[in-house]
Amino acid sequence: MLLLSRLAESLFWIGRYMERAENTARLLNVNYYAGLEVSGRAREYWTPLLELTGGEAQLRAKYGRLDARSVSSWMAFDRDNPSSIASSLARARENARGLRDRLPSEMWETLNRSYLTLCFENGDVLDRDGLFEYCAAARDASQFFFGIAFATLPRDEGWSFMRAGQTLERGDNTLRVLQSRFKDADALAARGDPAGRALQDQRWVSTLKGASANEAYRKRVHTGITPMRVTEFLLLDEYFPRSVRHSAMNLSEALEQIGRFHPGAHPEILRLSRWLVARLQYARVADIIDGEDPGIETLLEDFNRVGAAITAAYFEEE
Amino acid sequence: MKYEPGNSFFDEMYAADGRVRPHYQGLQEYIDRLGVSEFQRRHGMLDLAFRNQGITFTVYGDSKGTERTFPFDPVPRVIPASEWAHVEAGLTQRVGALNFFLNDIYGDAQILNDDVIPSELVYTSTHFRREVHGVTPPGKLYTHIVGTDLIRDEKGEYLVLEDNLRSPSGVSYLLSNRDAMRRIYPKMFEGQGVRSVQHYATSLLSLLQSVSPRDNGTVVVLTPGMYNSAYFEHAYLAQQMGVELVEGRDLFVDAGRVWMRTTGGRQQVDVIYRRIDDDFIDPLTFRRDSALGVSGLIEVYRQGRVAIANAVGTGVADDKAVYAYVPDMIKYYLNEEPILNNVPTFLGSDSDHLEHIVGNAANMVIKAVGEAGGYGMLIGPSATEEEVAEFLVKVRANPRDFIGQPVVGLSRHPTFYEDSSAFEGAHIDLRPYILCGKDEVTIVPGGLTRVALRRGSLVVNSSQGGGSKDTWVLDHDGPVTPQGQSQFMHGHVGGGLSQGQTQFQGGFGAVPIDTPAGEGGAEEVMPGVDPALAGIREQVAEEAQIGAYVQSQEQEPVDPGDTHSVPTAGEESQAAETGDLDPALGAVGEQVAQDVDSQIGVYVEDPGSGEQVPQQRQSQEQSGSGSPTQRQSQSQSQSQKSYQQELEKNELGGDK
Repeated sequence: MLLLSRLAESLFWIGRYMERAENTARLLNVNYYAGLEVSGRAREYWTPLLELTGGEAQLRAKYGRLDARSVSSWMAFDRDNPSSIASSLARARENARGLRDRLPSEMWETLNRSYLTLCFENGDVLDRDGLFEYCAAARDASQFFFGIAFATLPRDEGWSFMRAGQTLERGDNTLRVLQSRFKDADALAARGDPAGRALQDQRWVSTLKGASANEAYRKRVHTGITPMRVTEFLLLDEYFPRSVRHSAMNLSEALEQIGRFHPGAHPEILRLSRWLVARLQYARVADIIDGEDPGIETLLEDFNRVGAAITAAYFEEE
Repeated sequence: MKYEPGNSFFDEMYAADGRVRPHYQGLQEYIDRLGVSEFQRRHGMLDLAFRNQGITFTVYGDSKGTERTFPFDPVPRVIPASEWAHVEAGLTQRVGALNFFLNDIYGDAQILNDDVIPSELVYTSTHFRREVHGVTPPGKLYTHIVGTDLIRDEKGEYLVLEDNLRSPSGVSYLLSNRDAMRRIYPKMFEGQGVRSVQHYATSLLSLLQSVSPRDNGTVVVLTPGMYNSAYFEHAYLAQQMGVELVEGRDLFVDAGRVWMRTTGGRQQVDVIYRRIDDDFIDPLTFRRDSALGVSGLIEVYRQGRVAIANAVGTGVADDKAVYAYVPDMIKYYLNEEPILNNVPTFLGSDSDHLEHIVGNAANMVIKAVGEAGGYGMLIGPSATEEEVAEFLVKVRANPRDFIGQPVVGLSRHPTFYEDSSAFEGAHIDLRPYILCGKDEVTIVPGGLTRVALRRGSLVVNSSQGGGSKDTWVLDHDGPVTPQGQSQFMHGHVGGGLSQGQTQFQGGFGAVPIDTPAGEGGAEEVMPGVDPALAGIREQVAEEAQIGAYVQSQEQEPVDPGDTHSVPTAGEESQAAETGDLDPALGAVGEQVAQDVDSQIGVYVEDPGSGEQVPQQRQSQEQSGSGSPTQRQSQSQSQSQKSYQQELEKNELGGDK
């Protein structure tokens, strides 16, 4: 059974946007609540998150200030921010609407319900202290969506395209979080005072929580919080489903499944994705962080290269 | 059940003496049992169900898209078996004649040579497509799917208001209305003898497969895209049939065949159920600026290597002036008398008729035949003397460009109003869906009943506060009793033309034939027998209709001079599928509908969401080579863009 290119593309992006909504919700939630216990300037605290998702200039232009409230609004509900939770959900739904005839009705309905409840909110949510619920609902929306997909979506090519989008986004996101974390860590280290170090530790815990990895990390690593171990866990852990390595493995598997429908048609995609997995499998954390072989930047490029190759091979017009 | 049927219009549920009609008796008992408060509670559940399922019209005006549910009234419209048999026979006859007509005029044109229909009328119609002259579509079928709008006049007679032969929409609402009703009011159906509508998608698919040029051909549904107001329906039908839903950009022509782009390369397409108007279907043949269509499609069609449903060029037969000749077509091709009558139509081209139009202009609706959407139309009763005189000058100058019709008052039906928590009468029409195959005609029992929810309004159009109802066709003539069943068994439904149908031709369409003696004599259920009463009714009906028209005009001013200035996206998306849910209201009809629906389906993409956000919103193509610190997002591909631009820029096509 063949799949229309347009539908394959839509499924790929539904996977990405749903995953993106979930990741943004996690990050915002963790950052907002961790920020409550931190003294110091809001700007310092929120800038890393903004670097991660972009859009600081537009945010300033629109809200005139940078604080917990404006950043939360911007990242959660603001449809002017293309990466906000609401925008991601709305785009996922827009894509889903384009393939309504193909999605199981239950998947469509859950996504549509999430859209109706989450995409038309505003700062009132903050006024009634509802950010936690909002972020939790956004995370649930994504998990519910993928859960229904897991249970009802036929395991044809379409499934694999959605899975490829989801895992590519996930790996990409974790890498970006780490990248931003290191920039920030350098800045704090330059301050060199004890308060800076305490803040450092707290940020690394936030990073773990943002990936839902805190509990898994504690069970696996018993040496406490050290930047290198946290980084190693998020980058290279073989079993944790949100680590970069695991995401790359899932991505590669999805692409191999797609490849089975078109034997030998696109060897370059498989080469790229397997090469990515191989390096994450055998590199040590010091190679990546200290030796930059491959550096985080390179890994990000590689993820994007796989994405570009998928587009060229499957979505572009004949 | 408290309800005031009134006596100005034909009431579907109650006879003139206030007694419930037999086929509604079971329904009335159910509503009385359920109680108004429970009825109201479930009404709310219905709306939520439609919302969550996304069974909505798109009303995107800004970045915060809003979608509206199609308002739905849970009091079903009920049609007894004998009445339906009459309608079914009439529609079957009508589509048969229309199909003969289309085969004829795109071939030898005998009906024109015999001067039954003036040939200039056909050849000057905007929907006549000389590009397909001489093409014989598979199975000689032009009109695969037809939606015919029926109204009932003050006497209850079913009249044809118009034929939609291009791509009539609304059948998905019929089917999902029934689904929702069964889920939320299951007991309403119990023991009522309601005929099923579930076979529509199956019948449609086998019809489409039957016209495939190759064995086991690939069928697709061609949609203008998700911004079209009827997109839900396109997706729904594709899903129900299990065929691919494609857009123009998914298809291409190569080596004399039509293909679709898939992840595994090209796949041949054999049958296209298109929901795009002729004008937009092939830029090489029709409008060159269309990005919704498929270049070269018509040539492949001419070669017989792809089937298109409905065939290209069918629009000429639902042209206003041609409509007036359908009864003549029935006589000419079938040698039969029409079972269903038209709304009386006077042709400017006929000198006697012209005299009548001119003499009664103040009491008529006069329409220009080449126009739609409310342009070039005079509503006599609401116009001033000067306006009438001015219009008549134009009529006299080009008499054959005009038709005149009396104003018709639509029948009414009990309808639940949330604000008053009560049942009130509202005007309705009916659009049955006719599947016209090689050997047989299939009509799902019933159709889409549209209801004018705004009090006193005769406009059933959804954007004018119109909604819809579930439509029941019973397998008996009611009431639901063992006797009722036996009436059916012994009755005249099964075999050909019945006594009932003969009577219908006499003009008393709504009379339940089998009302047993003692339960109310025939005279009780024959409103309008008294000519004096009928006269009064007509007058009231006229007034109400004029009122509705004036009201709609105030809300949606129509400026004929504006036709060529910046049109909205909605117009395009409407143009892409005419014969939509719009041409609604009584005999004054289309003008309101055509305009107001241009608001539905308007989708204006947030200009900031595309490439304008510079940093992290790089397109997919660029980001591969770009800096990895920029987050990827979905590219808006070239074809998407041009589609969008077309939505925004193009003006209405052949419907002006």
